[in-house]
Amino acid sequence: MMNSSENKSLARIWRGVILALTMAVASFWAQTGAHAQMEVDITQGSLKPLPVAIPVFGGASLNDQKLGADIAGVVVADLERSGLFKLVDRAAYIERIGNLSQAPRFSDWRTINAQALVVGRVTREASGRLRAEFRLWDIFAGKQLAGQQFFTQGRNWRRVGHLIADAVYERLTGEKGYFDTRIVYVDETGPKNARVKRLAIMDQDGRNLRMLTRGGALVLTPRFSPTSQEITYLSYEDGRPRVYLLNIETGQKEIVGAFPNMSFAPRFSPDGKNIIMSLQQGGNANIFMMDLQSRRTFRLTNTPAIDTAPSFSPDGRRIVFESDRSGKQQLYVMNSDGSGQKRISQGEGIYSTPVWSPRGDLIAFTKKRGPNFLIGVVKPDGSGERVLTEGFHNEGPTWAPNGRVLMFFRESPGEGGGPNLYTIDLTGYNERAVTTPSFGSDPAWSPLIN
Amino acid sequence: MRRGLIISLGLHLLILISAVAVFPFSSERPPPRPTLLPVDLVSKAEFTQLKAGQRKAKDEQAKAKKKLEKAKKKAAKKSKPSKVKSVKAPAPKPKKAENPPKKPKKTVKAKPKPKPKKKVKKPKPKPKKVAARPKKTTARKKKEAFNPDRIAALLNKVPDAGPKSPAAPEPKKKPSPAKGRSDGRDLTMTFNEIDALRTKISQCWNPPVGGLGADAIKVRLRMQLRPDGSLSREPQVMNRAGSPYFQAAADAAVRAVMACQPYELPAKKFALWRDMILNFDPREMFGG
Repeated sequence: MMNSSENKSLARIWRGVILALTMAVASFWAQTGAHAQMEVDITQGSLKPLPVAIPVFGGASLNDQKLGADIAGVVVADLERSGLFKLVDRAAYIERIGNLSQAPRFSDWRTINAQALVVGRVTREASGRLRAEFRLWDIFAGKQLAGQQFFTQGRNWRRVGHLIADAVYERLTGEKGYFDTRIVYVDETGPKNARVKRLAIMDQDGRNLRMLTRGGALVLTPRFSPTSQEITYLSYEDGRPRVYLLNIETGQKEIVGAFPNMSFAPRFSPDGKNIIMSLQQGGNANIFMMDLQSRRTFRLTNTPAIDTAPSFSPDGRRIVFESDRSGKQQLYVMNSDGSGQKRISQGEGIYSTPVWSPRGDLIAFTKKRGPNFLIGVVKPDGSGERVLTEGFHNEGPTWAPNGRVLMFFRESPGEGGGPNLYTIDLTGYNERAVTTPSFGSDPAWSPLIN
Repeated sequence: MRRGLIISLGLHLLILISAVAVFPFSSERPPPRPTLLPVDLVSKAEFTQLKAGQRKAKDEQAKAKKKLEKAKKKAAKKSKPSKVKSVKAPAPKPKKAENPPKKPKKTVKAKPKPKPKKKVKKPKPKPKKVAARPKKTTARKKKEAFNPDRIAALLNKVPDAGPKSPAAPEPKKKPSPAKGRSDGRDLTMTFNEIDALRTKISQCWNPPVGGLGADAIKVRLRMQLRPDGSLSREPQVMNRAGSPYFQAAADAAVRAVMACQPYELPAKKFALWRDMILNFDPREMFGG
């Protein structure tokens, strides 16, 4: 009896030993196997534009096909102008896209080195309504990345193109597009000493231009409201500078106030409820905020200097402005109640017209350095200042709603010279002229329309 | 008494087994021996361009050496063996040495030297491009109309970022070669083999740039390959994040790996590269 119990405990011990042995061996193999997998860090990539194939969009009738080609043309122009995409030559396309609901032959598109494919179709319904659909394919992963349908009136076909370009841009870059936006600017005609200045609005690609004022009075510095429906601008309608609020859709105009010696129009706060401006009093100028409903003003700065050109951060908590309190114009940041004023520009030169990026990470500015004017960006804490473009006279940057592209105007020298609009992205290399029928200055970029 | 003895024996055995199981493993990864390595100061791109020739040369090194020795004996006095040793000749050259007795002078290993030199010189335009970048940032007056190909220089506009290039990252970033297996397959991936792979994928990788925080997005991808270097299955994204930026970055990484296949990797080392992890990290591109 005693023997059998001893045997049992002996067996238990041996079982324990064998179990421990098995576990030790298993752990040994697991560890040796685990570190067999090789890891490689890829820290550099190609920054060439992504090759995208965009065949003309199909359509049932000849008219639809023509419209399809036009819409595809808008998509191509938008994406190429961004500098991030490059159209694969259409002559190289092997597959002819017929049915949109079928997956394309990926191998045909791989052969011509397209990395993404945008296909679309346009149909005009019996009611006259336009139906446009598109699909975005990842050629190498062989999967659909995006697909949407748009219904609209026929005259809005360009907007459909911009919306498709925005969807493609957003899916491939991860950030919001900026193609379905508009620009308000000052159209300038006539000789240099007697310029007629009118307020004009157009799509961001320069199309669908129309004039908002007749040119009877000088207009300056239009600014978009975050709602996209209204702009403020400064006008000397009867010789006195007044700030106007204009509804773009309805054409309704109202006076915000008469402000003698004002040189910049106010800017909206991000919620559209307040405006900030600088008001000159004697030899000084200070920054004020006005509640648009009550029309009450609050002083934010009080210095014996010229504080001007204020611009809100997108969260509405801070304001960047320029001031000559140190002897020459520099950039300053303060809280939206006027506290915590701090200089952020440290470089040589004179800084002006700061504008906070809609995504909050950068502040764009104009800087005079030697004989040249340049457009640059700096982080809100004053670090990382970069020059994007430099030349005879660059001025007045305004941000695209995604905070990746800036528009500004550049004055050309000489008797016949004048201002023209340009865009430049944050890389500083993708600079494009914006075509306008005559000279243009003081651009203001709208938020996305929808 | 007997029971206590058995327990004691059992425990001692357990300790012994544990020691046997654990110590060999830990001794499998000893600190690297301070061996003297011959170092040629050539650029990473030059290494990359040389990799094919070097790999082949390795395979035939033994044959070539034997033939060299034979040739040495018969060769003319002009031969300079010291040069032969330092030049890892491309594969074709040792083949030429197959008939050393007939043309001893040609087998003189000094001859292979010019060849590799040519090969090294070929890739030079690449480093030159890289070197030209900082100029663009300083000499902005020379800026011409937009050329999409010049986007590559964009990030060098950050003044304090200093010139960086895909071909010559900081040396400290160089990963160590993969560890060999203890099961007899004592193979490692050499720097230039890893570099060649990295360079190839880099050329196919079009990371989405400019997005807010895009520089901080890392994508960890598992790549599984067939012996012919093609993908045996679709690359798997091993990490996740909810932002659209991450989705775009992950898609770009998968596209790069798929577009770049097949990969030319040493067949002998298939066990090492059949299943690997690629870490796509664009921080350096943003001057981070």
